[in-house]
Amino acid sequence: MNIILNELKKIFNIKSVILLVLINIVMYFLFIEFNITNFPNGRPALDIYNMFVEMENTYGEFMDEEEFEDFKLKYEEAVKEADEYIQSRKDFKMAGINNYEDFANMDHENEELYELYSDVIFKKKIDVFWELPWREEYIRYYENKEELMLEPSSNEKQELRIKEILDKGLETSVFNDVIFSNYNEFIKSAAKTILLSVMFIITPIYLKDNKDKINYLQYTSKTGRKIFKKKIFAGVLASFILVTVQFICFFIMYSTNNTSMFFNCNINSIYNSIISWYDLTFIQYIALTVIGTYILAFVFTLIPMLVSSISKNYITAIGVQLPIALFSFTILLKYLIDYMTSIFRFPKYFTGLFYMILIFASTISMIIRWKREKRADILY
Amino acid sequence: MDIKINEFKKVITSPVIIGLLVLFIIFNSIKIIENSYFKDELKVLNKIVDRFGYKIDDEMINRFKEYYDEQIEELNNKIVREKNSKEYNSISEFYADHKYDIEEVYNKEEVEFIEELGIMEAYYNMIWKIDDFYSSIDIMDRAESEILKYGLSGKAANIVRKQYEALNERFHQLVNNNEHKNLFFIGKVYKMHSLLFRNILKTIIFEIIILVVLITAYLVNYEFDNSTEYIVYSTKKGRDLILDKLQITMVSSILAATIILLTGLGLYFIVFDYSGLWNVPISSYYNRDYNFPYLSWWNMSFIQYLLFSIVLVYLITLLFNGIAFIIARAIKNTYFAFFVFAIIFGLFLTVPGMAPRDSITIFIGGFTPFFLIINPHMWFMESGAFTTFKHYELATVGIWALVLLALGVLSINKFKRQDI
Repeated sequence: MNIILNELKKIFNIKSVILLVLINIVMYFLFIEFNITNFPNGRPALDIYNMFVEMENTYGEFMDEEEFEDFKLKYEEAVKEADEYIQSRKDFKMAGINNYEDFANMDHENEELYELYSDVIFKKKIDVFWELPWREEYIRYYENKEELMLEPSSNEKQELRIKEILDKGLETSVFNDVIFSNYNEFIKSAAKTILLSVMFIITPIYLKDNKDKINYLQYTSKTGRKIFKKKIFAGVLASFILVTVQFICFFIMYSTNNTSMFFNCNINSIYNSIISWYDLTFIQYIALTVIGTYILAFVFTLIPMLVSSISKNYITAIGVQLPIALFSFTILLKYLIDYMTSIFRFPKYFTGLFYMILIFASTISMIIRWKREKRADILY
Repeated sequence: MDIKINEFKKVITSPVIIGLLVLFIIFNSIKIIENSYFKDELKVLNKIVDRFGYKIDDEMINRFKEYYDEQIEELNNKIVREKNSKEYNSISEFYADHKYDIEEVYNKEEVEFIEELGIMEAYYNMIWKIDDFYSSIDIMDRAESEILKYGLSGKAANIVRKQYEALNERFHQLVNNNEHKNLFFIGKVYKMHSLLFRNILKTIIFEIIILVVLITAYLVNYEFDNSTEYIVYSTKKGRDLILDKLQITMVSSILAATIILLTGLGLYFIVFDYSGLWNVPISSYYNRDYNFPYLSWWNMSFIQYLLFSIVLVYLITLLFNGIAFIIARAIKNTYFAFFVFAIIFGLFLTVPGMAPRDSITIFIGGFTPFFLIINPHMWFMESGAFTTFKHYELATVGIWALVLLALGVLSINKFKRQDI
């Protein structure tokens, strides 16, 4: 136990921690911050977000037929409000625009009319005019929900899954792409930061001792080569602590996005951009991505360890891991974290299988490395 | 000399550096091949240029029109008439009638002819849009929208306006010179400028930087990493070795840059045929990938633009070599040195953005090599609020070269007196 504690102290030495904090600050401002401060990102995202918060308040997690009638009523009210606004302005009357319908069908090629349009939309930014096209759009979605849901399916299994969702009536869930895609961008960047931090902190674990020739002392002591195993444990523990701390920080930041009212809403919605293999609620989806990141962090603890125990200098360790890191951050995360469990990404069990393979491959290669180290001649 | 050769050997025998170099070359090649699916379509332009030249003037337009009419006639006489009796005035009319059945009705040669004519027509039709398009551009409007985009005000906004006023003058000169009236690959369709300078060249620059930092940190700290510092630095040569090391990192960086540039750009120009187009001005109307055309500060042809960019890449390589040297010298641990470099890189990209939006300080962040490499496709031309200065690239490189030179001398002096 004592050894593990001391190894942890070595991993979290003051210099590394300072650099780690700096790395996290830079990564936060380069990749994560945008998704926090710019949510909802401009318009109409803001209007859609507000609309869905209101819907969630009045209808709950799903919008049934009765509530849909109410939704349509709200649309009528909004149209009335827009009408009143239009009628209150003289310049609209002059241009022959008397109500919202005229406004919506206005000819944008006509400069004079476009001037009016951009005055309302871009200069004065009247809420109701931003909201209305989307209310209209979403009514259309709801009315054609079955067609819309089935349209993108490209094989039988996908179709079957979509029909299952339709049977359960999950597609009327009050949940929107504005929230979902923002979360995906956020978690992807967060995972990137986490994996980079783990790699950074773990890489010196064996290399440092080997380079300083401390391993000669360690291996001749009573603990002997068991220290190799203990270091694995210390490393995994260290990255677990690190990932947990980072997740706490990042999710405190994310909580300022105010999406908690949607936690119990199903993500398989006509208003959302994912169709999942599973009936997940938003909070379950969040949990799943967090677990996924933990698994990846575990794998990305073992890979640097392996590299660290083999390479003779830091340049080798960096040079070997750089391509791995670049590949993972650009491609692997896109497939394993982003839009996890989407039916258009992989067959149903593929994602889980892929994670399993990653865990097994890294664990087994580490075990092999340990077996070799047990018998290795250390006087290279 | 022996020392230098041996230092050089340390670099070129490092399997990691060689491995990364090979990996980067493979990666670049994949990137180029992946984007080469339309390379045969591009050849239509080479043929047109062979026939009429790239300069669009009245004579060329007449000849082009004659040829185009001939081709349309041929389409009507030889290809269409046989199968249905209708006369087409343009290939787009023909396409409108034959949305799906071209491959079925016509044989391979005919399809080729039709497709080629279709592409030719796209070039031909664009000629008539040039004047209208350029008379609709208002540079000062562009300045205002840039100011709005970044929320600038006060002094900062005035600087942007001033820069765009200078650009406006250049813009009128450009139009008077007829620099914009030249044939080039249609940017809106193929995005060749973005592909070459934004995609390929930017990747190359990042690869070079990674290699430069690794080589520099590796060599400068080699003795400390291998615990040979007590022997090496107590020899007659002693600490002067650091100068040799610096020179060798420079040579190796330049060498690495040359290899990557040569293989990357070499393959690019083998895959994509630019023959006959080397001297087309870079500000050509056709070479516009997005709505706003590229407006270079000088009358540059494509080949000049490319060469200037390559020279700039070399200068940037040396700048990063200097930055990496100073960091690696100060931090003896190669591993930390690498991450400190990465952190400094990130800080230079994020911190300047926090400057107040109404003062001159907001522009300082633009004048760094870190910011310079973000948009290599906009070097020497109009490039947004923060970098549209006529001598932006030169100023950045010049200022940083001086600063790094000073810091480098200080760093070496300090090293010579330091406790090891």
